[in-house]
Amino acid sequence: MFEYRFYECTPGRLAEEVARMKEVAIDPWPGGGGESLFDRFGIPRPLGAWTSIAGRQQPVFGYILKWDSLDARDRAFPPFWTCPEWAEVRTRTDDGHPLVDSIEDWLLAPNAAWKRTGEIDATRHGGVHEMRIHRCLAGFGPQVTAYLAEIEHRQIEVLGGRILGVFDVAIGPDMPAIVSFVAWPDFPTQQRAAERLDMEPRVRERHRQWRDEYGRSPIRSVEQTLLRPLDYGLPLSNFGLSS
Amino acid sequence: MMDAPQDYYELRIYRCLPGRLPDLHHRMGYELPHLFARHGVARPLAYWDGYAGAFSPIYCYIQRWQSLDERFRAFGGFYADPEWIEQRDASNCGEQMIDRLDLMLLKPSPHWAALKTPGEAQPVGGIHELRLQRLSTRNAAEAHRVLAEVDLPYLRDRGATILGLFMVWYGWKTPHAVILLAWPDIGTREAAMDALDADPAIQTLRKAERETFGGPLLGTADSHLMRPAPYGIAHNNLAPQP
Repeated sequence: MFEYRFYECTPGRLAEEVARMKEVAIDPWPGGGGESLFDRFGIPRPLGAWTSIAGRQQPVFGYILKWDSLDARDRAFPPFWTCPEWAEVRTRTDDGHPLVDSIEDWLLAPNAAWKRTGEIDATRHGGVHEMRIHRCLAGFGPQVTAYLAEIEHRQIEVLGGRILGVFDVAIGPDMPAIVSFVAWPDFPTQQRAAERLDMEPRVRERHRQWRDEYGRSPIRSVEQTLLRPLDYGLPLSNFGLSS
Repeated sequence: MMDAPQDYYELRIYRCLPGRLPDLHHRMGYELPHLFARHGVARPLAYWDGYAGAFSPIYCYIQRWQSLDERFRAFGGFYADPEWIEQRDASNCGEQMIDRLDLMLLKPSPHWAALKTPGEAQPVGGIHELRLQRLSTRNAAEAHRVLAEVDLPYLRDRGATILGLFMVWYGWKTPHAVILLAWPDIGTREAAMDALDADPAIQTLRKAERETFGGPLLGTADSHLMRPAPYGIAHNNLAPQP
């Protein structure tokens, strides 16, 4: 199971939030023998960490964690939240006013459209990332999954993007929804691809078939958030997971 | 090392397609229970439909789990069961019942215990209310305490039964409190809410909170007025259905 946590930051304080996360999750904790504070509590390193460039609830800082057990997760995180070290970091970095306005925490499960083929290498993906949320009509998850696997994700790769991961929202608002993370080399490539994707004959053909068959599209809406991967959270291909 | 069993509540809020509520009640009340039992899906503690709120119609149920790993195993088995798929397609009759779903996992508030109704578990009638209450980020623990020590006892003294008090764990913005109330009737609810709003002692307290904490402890709330479903009326303290 994957946990996607995103923090609505107080305007003007995103950089401080990013630095605070690095201090507790990544940097060796003083006297910790090279371990970070997260490491000490058994909280895994983020598979990816981002700030958002465009999308709703600006500014946003988010990261994704992988857990083998959610019960283990609930033995690891709460002791961290109440430890004196975190209290000290939090008070110091809040500096009189909270850095975060609210937190949202979704649980994501791998979706069947996530093929995890291609080389599993040590490449870390920078550039511009995009989180695409396809909100589906209830009962039409399989149709949207098939469309993503057969058409949209292929086109994205032809147009220069890399699919990092594809997930069903397992716990969260406004379900059913499918989340795809895409890495683009740069912003102009993403822009050009967005335009081309909309005109792509196979995309249009699938929409026409859907209209004929169901009278409407099984996709209720697509939400696109542009993300900037952080130096300490550059995702590996397929988030480092093999098939 | 043995861990104490954890306590989770799963709250589902379905936005329904107009005209399909009776079919959904039939599915949840009569078609699904044996399939839930087959896969170890926790038996819902209460079911409702909603008739006033931020969006409607809604359909709602709540379950209790002691392990999230077990929760995902149980639902995984249920969703893969060919009998569920067959039953779903049959009762959908070619059209969906559901438009979308908000699904959240909650933990009981540490203050709930002090608000529990004494006595035997029994169904609580009347009008039920689901409140999603935004709390101050900076002082979330304090906000939970004030809600439990000031606002909810105030409403209870004026006719409300507190069915449950939770904090959001996954799936919704945090910090947020989720409150389930029962009212004998709509007039009682209106009078209690109006009194809370107009009470000079409460207003003085709110002012003091703003001054002490640099802003309000309690934010806005989404409220849904709901009707308990006859096949699973909430019992006091959300005790299990007999």
